Amino acid sequence: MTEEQAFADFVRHRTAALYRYGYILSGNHHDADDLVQDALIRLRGHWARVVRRDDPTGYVRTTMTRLHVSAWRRRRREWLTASVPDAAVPDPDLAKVDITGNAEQVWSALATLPPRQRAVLVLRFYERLTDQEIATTLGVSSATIRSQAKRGLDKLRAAKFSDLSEALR
Amino acid sequence: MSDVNVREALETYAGAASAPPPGLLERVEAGYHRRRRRRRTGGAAIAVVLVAVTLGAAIGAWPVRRAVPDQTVGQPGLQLPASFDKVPPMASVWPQAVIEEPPVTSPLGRPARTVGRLDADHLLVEDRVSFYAYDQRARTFRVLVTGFGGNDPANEVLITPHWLVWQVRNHGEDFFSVYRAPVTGGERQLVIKVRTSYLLARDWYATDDAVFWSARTGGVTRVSLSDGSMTTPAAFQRLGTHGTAWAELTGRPAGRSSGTVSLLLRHLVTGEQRTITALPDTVSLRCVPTFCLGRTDADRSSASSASSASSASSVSAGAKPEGGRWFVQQLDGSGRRALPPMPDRESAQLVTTDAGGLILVTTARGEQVVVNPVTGRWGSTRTASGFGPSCANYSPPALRWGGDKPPVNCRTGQGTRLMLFADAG
Repeated sequence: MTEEQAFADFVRHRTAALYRYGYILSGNHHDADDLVQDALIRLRGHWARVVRRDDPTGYVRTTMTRLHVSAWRRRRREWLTASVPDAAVPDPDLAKVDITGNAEQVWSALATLPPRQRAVLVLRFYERLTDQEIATTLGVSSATIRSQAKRGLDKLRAAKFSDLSEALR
Repeated sequence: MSDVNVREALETYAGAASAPPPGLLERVEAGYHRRRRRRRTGGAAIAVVLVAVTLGAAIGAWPVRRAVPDQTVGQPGLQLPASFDKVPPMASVWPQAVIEEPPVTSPLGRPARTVGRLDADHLLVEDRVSFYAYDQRARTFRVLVTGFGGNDPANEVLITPHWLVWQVRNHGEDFFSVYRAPVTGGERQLVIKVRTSYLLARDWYATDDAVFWSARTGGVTRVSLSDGSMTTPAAFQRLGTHGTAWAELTGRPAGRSSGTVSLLLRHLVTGEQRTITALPDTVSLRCVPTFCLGRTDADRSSASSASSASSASSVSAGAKPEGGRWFVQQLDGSGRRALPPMPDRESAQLVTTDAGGLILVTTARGEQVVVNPVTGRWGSTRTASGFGPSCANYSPPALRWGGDKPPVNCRTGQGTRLMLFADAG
């Protein structure tokens, strides 16, 4: 089997799962499509090396995650201002946090999160990675991951309570 | 509508995602060739610069490899390496525990996950559809059980001499189910359905007769595998499971608002008990029957190190991580020994196994070092990529490393290596 055929087989077999991952990562079909396409183009350029040394699916997922975060950064560059660096937030119970509500509410609240916070929650709760694995995937420290996760979960809680209070009026 | 959490919402929407637009492969190929053309026209100048930078970086970063003999602190009792920089590779220390080529895909072509060892030659593998016995030598699969009884992945997969035991949930339901199936393969049998609010810890433990877990309301819950009867034995009212046969009673160090110390261990089946002594400067202490791993107060570590200098020996020189000093001790508080310096206070953790316990350390370079202070053996992943006792809710916990990228979702990719903690003595 040639390199092109092997890559084509990979795309055929993995596209649906990668697209699902892109969808929950970005929250919309258009961005999911872009993420999958851009990540696969990069994989195509490194196919031989990745197949030899790594898991192609993991490579594409990591690329998608990083593209998702960096794409957001590019769009937001002109609005960036000096901000406080991420700091560690000790919260040993964070991994056990449940945000309850119906799936639609939680999904809507997720859409309000910045991409990095959303990516951290997706990797933690959907991919079930540890904080250190997420840190490696995103190229940041595990303290940053904990901080981002805490902020994301706080926002989800706040969004949920806001929705509920509106619904009760 | 039912209540769901973040995980369930993500999985629900992932499952509902529509199919990707057609023609993806053609668009990818077109994009790839566009990129190649752009890069070629980018010219030789860029290539020269890149080569120069790469060579410079390679020369600058070339590691100086020296054959350094493994050094131990030559004192009786618990043993520790003198430095985490001089630890031999994991496979040379525990060849029986390191799986060089764990299965990557199941016979169905799905990502495979190794969740334990069935015997010397066979691993227990699951692919979210079935459990398999994987023959390491022949590299063949045999289906043991198909269907886990829920549409979430199976959790807390436990292997007893005669049974596979696991827990599984359905999306949106507020209960979980416990199943068992013969370890040699066969039909699954429902043991019990329990409201999710009873689920607290993932450190489950099972024997041929019963499965144990920590209840949210306190105490250890025991469920009979034969009739599904659920009890909280009086002797375990205030204890928590450890993922092993030893339940643990914990408390807060005197005069502190945070921190946890082990107070005693009690065997879930025999009731045998071990009491633990924590010295006054201890802010956290976790124990297995053979030793304890603890941390001292940052403010008092200087004084304590001075007073215990003879036992800490030279390994403690300069070891003052954020949040105090890590140490090992016997259950009665004797034989305290300081661990070599670590980057921060979250760098060490106790991994419990039925055989005792291990210390998992993340070094400043990101490598994983596993230490058995009782046998005086330690090994390193020798690589910063990959991490963790991820999938710690699977029995036995495993360490995964290797390749350029971390393994995703506890599944192993090509080149990933796996170490089963239960096999490391």
